[in-house]
Amino acid sequence: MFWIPAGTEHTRNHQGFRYDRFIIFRWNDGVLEQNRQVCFGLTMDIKERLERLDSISGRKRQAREAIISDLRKRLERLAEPRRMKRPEERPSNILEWVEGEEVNTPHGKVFMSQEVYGSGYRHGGVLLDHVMEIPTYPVSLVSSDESLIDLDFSHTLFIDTETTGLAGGTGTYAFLVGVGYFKDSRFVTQQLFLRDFSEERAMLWALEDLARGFRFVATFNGKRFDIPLLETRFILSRMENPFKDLPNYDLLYPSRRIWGRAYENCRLSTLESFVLDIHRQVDVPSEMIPYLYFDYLRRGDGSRINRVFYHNRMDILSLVTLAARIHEMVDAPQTASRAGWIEAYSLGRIFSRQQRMGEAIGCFQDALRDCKDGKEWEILKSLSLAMKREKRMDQAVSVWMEMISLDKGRELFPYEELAKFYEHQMKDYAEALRWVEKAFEGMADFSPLGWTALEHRFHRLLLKAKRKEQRPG
Amino acid sequence: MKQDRKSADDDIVIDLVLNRWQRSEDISSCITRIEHLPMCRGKWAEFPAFIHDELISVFKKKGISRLYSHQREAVEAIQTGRDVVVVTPTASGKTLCYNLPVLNEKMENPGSRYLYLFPTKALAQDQMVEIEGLVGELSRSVKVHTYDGDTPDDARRAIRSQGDIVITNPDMLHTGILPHHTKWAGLFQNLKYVVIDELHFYRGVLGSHMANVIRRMHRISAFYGSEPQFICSSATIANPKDLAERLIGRPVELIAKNGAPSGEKTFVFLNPPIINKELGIRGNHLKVAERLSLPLLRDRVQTIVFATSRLNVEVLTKYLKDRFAKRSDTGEAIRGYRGGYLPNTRREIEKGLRDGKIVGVVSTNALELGVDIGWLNACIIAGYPGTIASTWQQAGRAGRRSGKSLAVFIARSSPLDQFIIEHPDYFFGATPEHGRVNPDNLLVLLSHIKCAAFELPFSDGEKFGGEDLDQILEFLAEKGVLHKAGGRWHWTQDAYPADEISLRSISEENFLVIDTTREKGRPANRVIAEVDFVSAHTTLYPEAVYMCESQLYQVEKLDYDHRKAYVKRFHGEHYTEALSYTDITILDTFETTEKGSYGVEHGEIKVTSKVVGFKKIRFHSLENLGYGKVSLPDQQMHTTASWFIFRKASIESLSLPRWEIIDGVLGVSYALQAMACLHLMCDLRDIQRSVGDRGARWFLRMSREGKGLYRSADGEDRLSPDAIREFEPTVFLYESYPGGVGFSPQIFDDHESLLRDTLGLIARCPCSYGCPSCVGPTKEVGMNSKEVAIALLTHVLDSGGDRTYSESSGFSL
Repeated sequence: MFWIPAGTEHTRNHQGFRYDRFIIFRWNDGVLEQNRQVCFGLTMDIKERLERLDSISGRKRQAREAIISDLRKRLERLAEPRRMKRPEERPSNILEWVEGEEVNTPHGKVFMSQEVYGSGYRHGGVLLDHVMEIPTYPVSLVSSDESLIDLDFSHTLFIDTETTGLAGGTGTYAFLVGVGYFKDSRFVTQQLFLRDFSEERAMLWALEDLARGFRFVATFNGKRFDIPLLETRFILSRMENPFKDLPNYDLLYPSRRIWGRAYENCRLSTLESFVLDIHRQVDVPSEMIPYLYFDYLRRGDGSRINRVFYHNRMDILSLVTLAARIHEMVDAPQTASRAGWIEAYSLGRIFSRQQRMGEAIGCFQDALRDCKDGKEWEILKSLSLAMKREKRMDQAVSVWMEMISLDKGRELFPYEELAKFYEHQMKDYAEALRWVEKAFEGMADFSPLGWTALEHRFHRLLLKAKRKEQRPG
Repeated sequence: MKQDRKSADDDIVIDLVLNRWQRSEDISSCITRIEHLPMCRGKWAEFPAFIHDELISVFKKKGISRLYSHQREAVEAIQTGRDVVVVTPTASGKTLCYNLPVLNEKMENPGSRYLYLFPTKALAQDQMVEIEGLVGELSRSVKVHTYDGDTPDDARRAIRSQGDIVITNPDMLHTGILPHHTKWAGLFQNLKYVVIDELHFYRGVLGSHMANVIRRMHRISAFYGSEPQFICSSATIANPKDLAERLIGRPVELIAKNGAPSGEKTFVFLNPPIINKELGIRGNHLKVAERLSLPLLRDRVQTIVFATSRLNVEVLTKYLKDRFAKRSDTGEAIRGYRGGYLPNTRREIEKGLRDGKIVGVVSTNALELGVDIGWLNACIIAGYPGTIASTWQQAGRAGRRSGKSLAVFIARSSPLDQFIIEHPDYFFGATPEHGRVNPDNLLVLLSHIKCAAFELPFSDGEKFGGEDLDQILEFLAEKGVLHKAGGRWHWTQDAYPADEISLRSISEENFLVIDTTREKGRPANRVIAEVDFVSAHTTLYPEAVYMCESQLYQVEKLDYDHRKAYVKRFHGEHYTEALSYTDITILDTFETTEKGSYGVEHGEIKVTSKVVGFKKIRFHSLENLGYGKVSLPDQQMHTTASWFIFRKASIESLSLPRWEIIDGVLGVSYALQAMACLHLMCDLRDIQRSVGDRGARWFLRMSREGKGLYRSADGEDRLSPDAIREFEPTVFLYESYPGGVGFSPQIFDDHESLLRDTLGLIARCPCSYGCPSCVGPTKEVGMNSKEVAIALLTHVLDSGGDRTYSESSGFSL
């Protein structure tokens, strides 16, 4: 069905609403039929009708407005120190707040801000110009991605994006794409910014141009978020995605292995404050970033968005520091400075997963030395298993004995290991039986897991012990 | 082979039962029609020459060596590149109409990909099994996957990049696929056919949403340079071609000449006897349904009983279970089935029906669709489902195979049921209903414009839907939802719009029903059901008796804010029915027509409804055991309506007491609502009614002090007897969905024939003083309502009407 205006004049109904006259046409078995003329409040009051519909979900809207007005207040408070009048020209305004330049591309101009960090610059205690000397082989220990094997920081592009939302999907834009890379002995960051959505193709072109020559990208949660999001943006602009086949060193995963157990979460900001000792001066909470950008778009005021540039630049620098930190720790577990025993413990686990038991034992011992009360059990367990794997049985046995002497963390484990040791290694079935029986004594306190296996072992040991007795006799 | 013998046995039982009914005096006197629908021979055709030999041999292996004539017609039309809609009854091989062209095209063009849309997950699963059976025989590998909320995350990536045939539902297309279309680039680039099964399901609000989801899909396909062909299939409705064209927005070829054979079916129409002639009260339809299904169930003839509401399903299941409680073999074999049961329970019941473990099922229209429950032998329709199309769909659940089958329709006292039962010729002769959609319902359209803008920015000059897109985009920009740059409108919210819009109902969260009964061996606080937001108000108020799987529960606490109802098992003898009030405010009048004696207007209104109490009703005897109070937040809705105003002058000329006039108008409203639904061929639930004054300041309603005219806001302020003189009684007929689906302009246009048909219905009703089949029960409308209604309608039509107009009436009484 479609509408055709039947007359040009508007009429007013008794309530004063204007409405237009229309004829309805509709298709009926391929024949166009004309229905009688009707009036319908359509064109004039569409906005009013929309407003009215919009008010239906009043409850939701009120809740939302509360959030938004709260946000408004917070936004305004943020901008308080150097508030400015609304400027006339939007594109030029950003320059008043962010140092940068316009870059020409075949798709138009895009705004870019560049910073160069010369030798001697420290971020989170790490000298940026030393990063190039840090060995890259640890990547094979902390990541299972084989394409990263010949990782080379001089050919790595560090990337972080700021987006209009976290929901993902085609309606989420990356309005600020920051990259960082080493050039000679300096570290350079370049940030591409959408002064408006119409600059997106230009931004993506510039990004592709920038990415040329790099063989790796490094991100934080980029595998799930930044890179797929950029891929979506490239597809939507019908452009080739330069990151499609570049190996992505996503630092989130190694970070989780090392610090996942240590803090409430494994966000970059958490790691910054606990691990990297970075404390940002003027920052914005990430959840506010989309709103700052929408505010910029609507008001054309750059006085708040500059904080997002800062936030993004700090993220990129922290990426580098984080990578350096991880590599140093894995390369020299004994000498690297550590934030706590959990790091040592996690490193030990990383090494033992790679069958590097010597290093693993060292790390576990370090962890044991620094650990807090009550955490020894897990470490001792890992330590003993590493020793067992290394065939350092005497040491392992003494660890198991130590575990049994501990009050806490009662578990079958040390008894079972001792029983195994005496049964298989020493062939001393009587001693093995003694440990099984000891385990049974403490039965009431143990978790029910593993009991059936222990019972089997007990019966087998009884049999073996009996046979051994009979044989010499 | 065993199956055949069982089938032959069932034929004998059905004959015996029918025979018994005809011989029994009290049953046969209630039968208004026995219609024998003869067996139908099939019309056959060969596979067209362009079908690959390998494919033909696969179908031959499955026992299909020839096609039905309509299948060939469909396959040929698709081959020439046209969009088609195939309309044939259940079990006429409609799935072949799309599977054959899809697989043939796949062999021709190995890179091509396909999307199948089914209205429910269960149907998608069924189809998956069927098509895998075909694909497994092919030499070429064709990957078929369902993609829905149950698909595990790790499988999704593979399906996105490799699925040749992706089977999904509109909701998933709406929230999962279109907003992430870049991940589906491979599918959209190579999308050759889109299959939409159960097209008739997409009417009303869901259909209006569906049309917009397809508009969005057209945009996305165009972005990737593809223009998929559509293959739709539909049950019998009046306007399949029109519906398909409105849904997909393009001309469609209709294929409707069924070539499939069908078995013999007997369709019995049964009107429960009048128990109280004065009040025009008939026997309870559920009781009759219970009685008629007993002999069938006793002889293990698989029977489905359709009831009109969830409450009725539970009540009837309980009745039947009670009957068979002593027979362990049958007691467990009777189940209820409705929306709100948990998916696992539903799958278990469906399977039980297929393998014959379940003999009887009592269902809402949830089983009307093509959910695979095998072929049943008897179907009892307890209460008119609201449309002719649904009635045929429900009757079609019995007798898909070649043997005999039985369908029984039992009427309730409502005018619509009575009209159908007393006019079987109308039913058997008429075309079924129209599937109506209004894709440009502003609320629906606005939602999808947001989604579409999220998916791809709108460009200046682009078209989407029938309203002025630029104005809507500007509105959204003002609201901060969009931002215009370089001639394109970009999404500027940290939100995912598709998540906020549910295709199925108003997008408020469902209520969870939590059973807190403490019992050994069962976890406490078990979720037993989900109830949609609107229904929750009438089913989950504190003290309500909630029935689920024919177990009774009583609501102990309703946590409204968190959308949770805590219930406990209940062993009482009653169930509850909600009492609610409705207020209307007129927001805008679009059209007015004045006939002198009456006026009709059409416009937008605000409806406020509130559940204020409930009735306790004893099982079996149905006596009223008392009332309870309820205090729940009210619900508001903006929708479209038409209203009939009876002018002061014409009322005065009748020289009847004012109160009797108001009773008469109440009776008119009752019959008018039924006639409007019949005329518009929509469900009774789609249009609601209210009686008030012209300005919608006073409303007719029941209170403890009796019937009266009360102020809108609360129930205490009563219209004084003096003021009643100035009162111009007005009947509001309004649509149940926010914004309306397009029924009310139709009511406005056809108001005169509607009033004439309403007069005909009331005048020809055999009752003495009014009954539930014409003006409503006398207990509610008063003893003189019928007489006054007839006088009033006769008066206004004679003095104000345009006689020639009555010929436009869709049917005559």
